[in-house]
Amino acid sequence: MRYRVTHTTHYRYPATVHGSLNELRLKPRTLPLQRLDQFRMEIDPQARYLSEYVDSFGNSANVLCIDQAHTAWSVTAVAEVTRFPAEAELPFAPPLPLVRARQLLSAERSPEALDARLMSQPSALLPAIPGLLPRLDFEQDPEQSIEAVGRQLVGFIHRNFRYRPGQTEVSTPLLEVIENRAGVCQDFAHLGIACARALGIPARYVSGYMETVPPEGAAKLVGADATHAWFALYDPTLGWLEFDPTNETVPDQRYITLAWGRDYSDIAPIRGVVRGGGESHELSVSVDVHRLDDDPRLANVPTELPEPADVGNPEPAFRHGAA
Amino acid sequence: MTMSQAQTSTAALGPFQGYAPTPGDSDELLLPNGCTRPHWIPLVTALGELEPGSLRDIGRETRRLVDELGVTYHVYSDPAGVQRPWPLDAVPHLLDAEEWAGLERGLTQRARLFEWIIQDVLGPCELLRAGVLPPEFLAAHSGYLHPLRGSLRPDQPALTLYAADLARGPDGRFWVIGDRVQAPSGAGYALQNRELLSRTWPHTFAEMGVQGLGGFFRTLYQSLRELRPDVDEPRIVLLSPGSLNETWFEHVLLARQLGLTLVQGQDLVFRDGRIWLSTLGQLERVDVILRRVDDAWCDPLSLDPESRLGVAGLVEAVRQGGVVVANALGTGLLESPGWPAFLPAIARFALGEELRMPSVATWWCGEPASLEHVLQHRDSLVVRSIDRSEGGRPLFLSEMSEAERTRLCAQIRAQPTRFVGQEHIGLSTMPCLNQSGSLEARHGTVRAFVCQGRSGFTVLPGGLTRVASRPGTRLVSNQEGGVSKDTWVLRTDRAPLGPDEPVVEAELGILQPSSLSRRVADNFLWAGRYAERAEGLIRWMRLILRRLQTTRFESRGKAEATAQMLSALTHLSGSYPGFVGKDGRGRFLEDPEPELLRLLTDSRLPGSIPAALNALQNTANALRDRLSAESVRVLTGLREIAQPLAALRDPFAAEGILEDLTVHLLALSGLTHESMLRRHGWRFIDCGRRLERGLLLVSLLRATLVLPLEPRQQALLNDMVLAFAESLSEFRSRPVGKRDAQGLLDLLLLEPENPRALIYQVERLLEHAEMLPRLDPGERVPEYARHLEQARSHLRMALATEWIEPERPIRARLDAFLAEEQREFTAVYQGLFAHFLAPAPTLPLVGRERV
Repeated sequence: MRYRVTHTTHYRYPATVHGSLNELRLKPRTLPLQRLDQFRMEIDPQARYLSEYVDSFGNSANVLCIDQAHTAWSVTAVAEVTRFPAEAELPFAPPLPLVRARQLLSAERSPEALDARLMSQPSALLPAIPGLLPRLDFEQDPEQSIEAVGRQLVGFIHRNFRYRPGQTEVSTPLLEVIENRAGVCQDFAHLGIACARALGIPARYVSGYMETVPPEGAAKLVGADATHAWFALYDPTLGWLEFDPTNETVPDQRYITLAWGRDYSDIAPIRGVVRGGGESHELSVSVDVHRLDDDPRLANVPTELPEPADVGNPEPAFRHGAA
Repeated sequence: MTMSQAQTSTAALGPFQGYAPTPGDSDELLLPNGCTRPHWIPLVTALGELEPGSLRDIGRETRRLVDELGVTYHVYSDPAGVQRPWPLDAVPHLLDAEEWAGLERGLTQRARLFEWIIQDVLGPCELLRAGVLPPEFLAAHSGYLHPLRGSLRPDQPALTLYAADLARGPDGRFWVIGDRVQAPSGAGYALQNRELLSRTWPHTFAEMGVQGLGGFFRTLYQSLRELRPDVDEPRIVLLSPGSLNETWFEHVLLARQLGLTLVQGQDLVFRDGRIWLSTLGQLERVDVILRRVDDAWCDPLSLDPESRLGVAGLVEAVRQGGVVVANALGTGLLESPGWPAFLPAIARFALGEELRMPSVATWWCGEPASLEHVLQHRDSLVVRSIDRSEGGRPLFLSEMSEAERTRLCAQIRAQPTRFVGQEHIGLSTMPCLNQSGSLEARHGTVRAFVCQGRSGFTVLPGGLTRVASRPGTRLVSNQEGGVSKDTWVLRTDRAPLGPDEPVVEAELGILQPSSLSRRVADNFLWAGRYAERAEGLIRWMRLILRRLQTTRFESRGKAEATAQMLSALTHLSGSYPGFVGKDGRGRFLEDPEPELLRLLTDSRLPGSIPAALNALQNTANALRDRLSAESVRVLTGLREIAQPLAALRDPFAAEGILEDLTVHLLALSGLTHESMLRRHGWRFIDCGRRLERGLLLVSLLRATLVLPLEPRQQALLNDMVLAFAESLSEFRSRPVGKRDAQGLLDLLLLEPENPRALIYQVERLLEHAEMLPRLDPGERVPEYARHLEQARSHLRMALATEWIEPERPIRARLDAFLAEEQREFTAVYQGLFAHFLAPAPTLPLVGRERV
């Protein structure tokens, strides 16, 4: 499956900004089942400085500096991604009970396992909540495998939490989500991670996109898609296993992975610092996941892209990361 | 007398009478058998030869020197404690050369080990791969900052300065009880202590062969330079959190000693992969940053977004090699109290060596066996959170209630990776001078410092010794009233100092030109304004008190001049409603003393005299690195004189204090004018003074001359106004016909030769405007200068104005004119602020072409 993802973010400020410095994570990862065919960013106004590095989780990140005065700026990331279907069958392994898996993990020292173990502790947005599982009434059977725990979590969250956009903000603490029993995909991913870590399972936050299919007969609206988030658990024999609590499912080839980290704060698509700009800002985001294969309903979507704006003078990427 | 006799007897002499170490703990002066340790004997002998009472004099002299040099630190919990005198014991701590040599080896090994560790855990992670260190130990610590993984360069030391807190345990050995790795403080205070004590003990110091400290700081400076072998003359700055920081004085001192530019986060900007110092009119490249800001606060872009202390883009600049930070960002991780649990194994793995210096036995609860050990031995162990940022205070379970203990144990079980258990180490005691002039045994620790350069490690031959606030307590902290000591490491040869090594460490004087950042310029301007404001308020207050004193027995309510001068005070100070509101005219004018007392005593009342003085002190403190020693002395004097104001009960008793304050403020003004180089810093001070003087004068004139009184009353008031403007004798020397309100206004507004006249302030401000840099080359005349020109042309046009309007009860023309001048002056300040002091839009680059 081939997709073109167009992800536009637009900032507007009430007062003049005299300069801004941003860190972007908008370039999808390359993975065994995902290939990045093409990527470009259009930035307006023009960037004075743009560099690229690979962060400690292996995500690609850009640092972007705009130094001319402006009251609005936008960045459009256009990525063409090929997504391969997972192999039909997983390699056979008897399900490992959680207790065994944890023991195994504490001695596991492969690079992948070490990275996973670094994801086992509380993180910036997910501090440890004492008594989290009893508070949620989440009961877990120690004979279960990690994969079963993941499925159980997905079902549990989907059953007990309402999907309510607008209910939460990026900074909504997990406790509030638990109290309201409502949130968005980001909150559900965070909740799944917190529960898994409380059980001693390394867990990470995955951000990305998901293709949405319009109702039969209706044309697909450009920009109707959104960024999405889900979580992954680490099993010492099976590796990382992904779960989407928002849709109560296991991500498949309709999912495109952008980045992963310990929680949202590690991989926010854009974080920045501005000089001036007044008290607040307006932010609008539009995402379009466009299937490049032969879906007739998508025929009327323009395929020609505008020429990319000159993004200044990108420095050669400084390789970064522990790998 | 034989040596052994001396050892047993001297300690019982003179000031040592009653010196009693705590049983069970080691003592620095006495061996367990009660004999004096040999390296103390020369000092003990010297002390024994002193006249009774002279040790107390030395203590007093030490405190006086601390005041004279203005050595301060900041107690966070004390609202008035912005500048506390630095507590220094007059008796030094002595360390024997041989023992020190062993410590040096141990400290060097430890610094080398920590360097290896941080390079590894932010780099290849061999410790994790080999299973020497569990990854959960790193991940549980908030100092493990992912954005910094991969940011270190193996050819560049991550730890330029490392510090360890040492304590002598009951077994007589030195133990490391804490590591300060990211931005160690105290080395500057150690240097300051040395300067102070070498002045109080000049002879003893020279005779005992104390090792000097200057070489270490030269090495430190050299090591900072070596961080940028690619730059010929690297620009090194010291990044401080600012003048409210606990150790601000030390930042100032180090910046001066090492010739670094003292900056705060707001002074620096990221551009093109580098960090620049934003000064008036230009950007200057920064190559090395010696930081006193903790990791997470250093960059709101990549680290904690809430931080206002850092520089957005610093991590990116480090990644690009555009700037080097010392100590490297990410080293805060090494301050986890859990490291000692792993250090012996790491030392064997990394260096192939045994750890030379023991650290406190530590169990990291993230390992199941350690967790059980800690919970089992919870009554004998100390429990700590691994994050110092989360109040890593030691928790003594043995001192807790049953409920508290149960709660803590549950917390440890729930999050074992976040806790360590440690053995409790008893500290040794050492002699400290008490109030009555004798010596008492108090518990203390020594902070030792290691500097790493390209060629290796250097240990400061000395350190910062800190002792508890009183005998018996083991809590050693400046924040808790602890006292510091100079630390004398004696030389092996005990040779007196030769002439080539001065007793007093001379300033290293590797000075670089220090540029004026916007923040510093703003502080200069406000220092000028506050000094002038304090001076003006005090002057008018004194005139009022004198006037009230002479009319004390008259009926005040009828004296209109009295009412005017009191309401003028409210206008001058801006302390409304005061004498101005309805209530004020009635009640306060009848009995003005309570309101006057408030203005004299209440530092929280905006517009009061102590408020103006405090504002001056705080601003001057923020400029500490730019002030001359004389200015510091005058400011210290000013603070001491102002102190009794708070306790005043009678405003008329303030006269003597106000007189002293005026003399000191004049001295400050004199120093500004006679001793400061005519650079931009001086210009901003002078701008502040001129602006404030103009504003005070205009509001005084509006309050006293717009509503004319009955002639005799008005004449009284006019004399006061003239006295305020130091123009009374000039006025009296003028012909009788010119000694009216018109003549007064001419003299105070338009006389170009009168340094107190309004026109004079405007002319000086215009001269400054001519000399200050033009930041926007496209703009012909900056806006603030346009307002100055307007103020001047108004004044010139007013030359022939008849201010007196005999037929009208209110001098409306005068009032309108003064109001206009007031507006112009305010606009000048706002314009200056917008032009120079507010964050700038874009600035041209200097020193380098655009990348």
